[in-house]
Amino acid sequence: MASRGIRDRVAIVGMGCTPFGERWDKGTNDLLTDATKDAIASADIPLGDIDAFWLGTMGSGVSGITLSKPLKLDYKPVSRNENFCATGSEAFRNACYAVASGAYDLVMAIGVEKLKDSGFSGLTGTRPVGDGTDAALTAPASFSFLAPAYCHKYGVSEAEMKDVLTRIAWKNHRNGAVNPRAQFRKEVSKETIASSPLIAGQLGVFDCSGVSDGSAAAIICRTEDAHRYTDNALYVKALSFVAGPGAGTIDPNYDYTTFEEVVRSAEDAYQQAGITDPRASLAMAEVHDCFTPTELVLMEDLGFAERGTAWKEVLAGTFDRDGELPVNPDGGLKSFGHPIGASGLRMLFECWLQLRGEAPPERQIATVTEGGRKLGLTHNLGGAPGECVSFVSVVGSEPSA
Amino acid sequence: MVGGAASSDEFLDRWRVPGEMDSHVWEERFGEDVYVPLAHAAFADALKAAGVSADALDHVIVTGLHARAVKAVKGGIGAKVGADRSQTIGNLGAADAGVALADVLEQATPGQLIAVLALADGADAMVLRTTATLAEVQAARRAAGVPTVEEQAGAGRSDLPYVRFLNWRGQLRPDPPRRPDPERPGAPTAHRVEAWKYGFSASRCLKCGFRHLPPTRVCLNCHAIDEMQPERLADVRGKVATFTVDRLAFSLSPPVVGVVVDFDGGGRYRCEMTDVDPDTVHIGQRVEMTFRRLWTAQGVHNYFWKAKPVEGSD
Repeated sequence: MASRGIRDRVAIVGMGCTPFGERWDKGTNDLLTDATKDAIASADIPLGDIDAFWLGTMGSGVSGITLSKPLKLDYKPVSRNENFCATGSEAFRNACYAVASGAYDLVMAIGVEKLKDSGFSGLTGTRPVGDGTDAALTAPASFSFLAPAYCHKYGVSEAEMKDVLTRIAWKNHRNGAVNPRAQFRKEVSKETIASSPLIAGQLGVFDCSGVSDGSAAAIICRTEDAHRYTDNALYVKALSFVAGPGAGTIDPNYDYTTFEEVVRSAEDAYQQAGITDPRASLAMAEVHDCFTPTELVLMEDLGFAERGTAWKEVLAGTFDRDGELPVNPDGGLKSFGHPIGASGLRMLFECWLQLRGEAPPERQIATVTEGGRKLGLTHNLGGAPGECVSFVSVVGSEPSA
Repeated sequence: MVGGAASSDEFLDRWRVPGEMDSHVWEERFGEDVYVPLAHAAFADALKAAGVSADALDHVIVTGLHARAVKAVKGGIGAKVGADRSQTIGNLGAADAGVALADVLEQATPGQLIAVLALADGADAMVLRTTATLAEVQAARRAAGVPTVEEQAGAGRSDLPYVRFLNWRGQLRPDPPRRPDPERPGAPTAHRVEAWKYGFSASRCLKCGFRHLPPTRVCLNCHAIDEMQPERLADVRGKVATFTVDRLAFSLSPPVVGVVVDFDGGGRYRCEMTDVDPDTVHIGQRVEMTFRRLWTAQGVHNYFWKAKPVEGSD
C-alpha cells in the first residue's frame, strides 16, 4: 500500500481564470462560460474535443448539469466535486487521474463559486439536518484559535503577532494590487490593516480573505500528447490529498499551532515529486491564506520554515514577491479573493503564468526569471484547525529527464 | 403542615390576555382595600386550624404580586415577618412563595413553626412545623454541593445592561448579523443523540481509555470499533485550552466566546462559553458545564451545553 503519484504523466495545456470579485454582472453560468472560453482559447482547441469534465463547486450548483447545461455539452461525462474550500483542487486531482488512467485523452477541470448573491457576510453552507449541538462559530473564529496558541508556544508577544499577521495581509494586498484579475487591487497600509475592526479574536477585517465570485479552469492531457496543443505545457509532479479524522477537536494533545493534515499531504507530495528541500527547490507557492494566521502556520507545515521561526521569516520578507520564496505572488485568497470552488484552480493558474514566463513583467518573480527554478506548489485547505482536508500539488515547467 | 386556610373574593386586580408579555393592573389602593382583610382572615383561620398563636411562629413569609397589599399585611399581621429578597431577586411570581419557603427551610432548625401567606386573587395561608429530619436534609444538600437560595442570589449579576435584559426577554429586536438564521435541530436527529445532547454523555474506549466528545463508535486513538462505554461529563470540570471572541456569529448575547475545553480525566470539546466577560477569558481558566438555550429557530428552542467559569476560581 502506497501513494505512488502520477509524476509527469499528465500535463496542463490550457488554463483560464475570470477576474474574481463582487461580480454583480455575472451569474454562475456566465463565470463558467468565461473560464471555459479562456481555457480552450489558451489551448487552441474547440470545446467539443474535450472528452470529460470535472466541476468543482461547494454550493453554486449541484450535479454535472450545472456545467453541461450552460456549456451545452454534447452528452459528455461531468462529475461534480465538493471538498470544502479545497473543492477546485479536488476537481483538478480527479481530472488528472482520469487522464493518467488512460480512460480519456483530453479533459477539463473547472471550479466556480457565486458567493456574493447571498447577501450574507462570510461563507454560508448547506448542511444536513443537525442535532443542534455544534458550536456556532464562524470560520474566522475557528482560525483565530491559531494566533494565541502560536504566541503561547513560541513566546511571541501579542503585539509581535499583530505585526506578523499585518505583514502577511500587507504583502498579499501588495501582490494583488498589480494583478488585474484580483478582487482587491490596491495596496493597503499596515496601519489600516492593523486598525481594522475586529471580527474574531485578534483578527480584523483585513486578516480575512475576500469573499468573491469567480471561476478558473484547466485542460489536461497525457504528457506525451502535450506537444499537440502547446510547446509550453505545465507538468503535474505531485497530487496529494488528506482528509483528517478530526483529531484536533477532540484530542487534548493538539495545540493549534499546526495542521496535521497539511503536514501529511505535504510529505506525500514531496515524496511523489522527489523534493527534499522545498524552500530551495520551489520557485513559488500558492497557499491557502484564508486568514493571516493560516498562512503563518502553513509556512512551517509545508516545510518552508523551521518550527517556531516562520513569524521571523515573515517579518524578514522571505515570502515576499521579491523574497527568497515568493508565497501567493498573485495576491492569494486575501487579495485575489476566495470563490470556494475556483480557488484551487486559481492557484494553479498563477503557477501556469509564472513558471511558463507568461506573467506580465511588473509582477514576474525572480526565482523563475533569474533563479531558473522550475517548480511551483499549490496548497488548498478546507475545514478548520483540528478538523480539515488538505491538498498539495507540485507542478513544473519541464518534465523530468 | 399543621394548618391551612384560604379566603377569596370576586374582584378585578390583575389580568393578562393570552399571548401578551405583561399583565394589566387596576389602581393599587382598591386592591389593597380588598386584599388586606382577606389576608387577615386566611391567616387567622390557618393559625386556628393549627392551634397555635401568632407569637409562637418562628418564621413568617408574606408574598404576592400586589406589593402595596403585601406591605400593609406585613405591618398589621401581629407577627414578626422575616426579611425578603425582593430587593435582589425581584418578585418571582408564582415561584415566589416556594423560593421564600426554601430559603427559610435552609436556615430553620428542627421543631420550628413556619407560616406562609400568599396573596393572589385572595389569600392562601399555611402553617408548617419542621421535623427532626430537617438537619439531615440540610447536611445532605450541603454535602452534594447544592447551592442555597442565599448563595444563588449572591452569585447574581447586578451589571446586566437593561438593553441586554430586554433583548433576552425578546422585547427588543436588535439588528441581526448579516448571517443566515440558525436552523432548527431535527427532532429525530436530536432524539438519536439524546444522552449526548441532554446529558452531555461522552464515550470512553474500553480498549485504550481514550475519551471522546461527542461519543463516537470508532476510537481515534486505537481505532477499535464499538468498544465504547458511555460516560456522563455534565458534572466534570475542565480548563480552557484556547479561546476566541467571535464578533460575527449569531447569539442571543453577542459576542460569542468560543472555547476549547480540556476535561479533567481526559477529553476535549469546543463549545461556547457563557456568563463571562470576554476580556477576562484566559488559557488555563477553570470551567464547568451548564445547560443553556443556544438559539430558537422556527419556534424550536435549542438547548445544549456551554462552559462557564467555576465560581471562585481564577
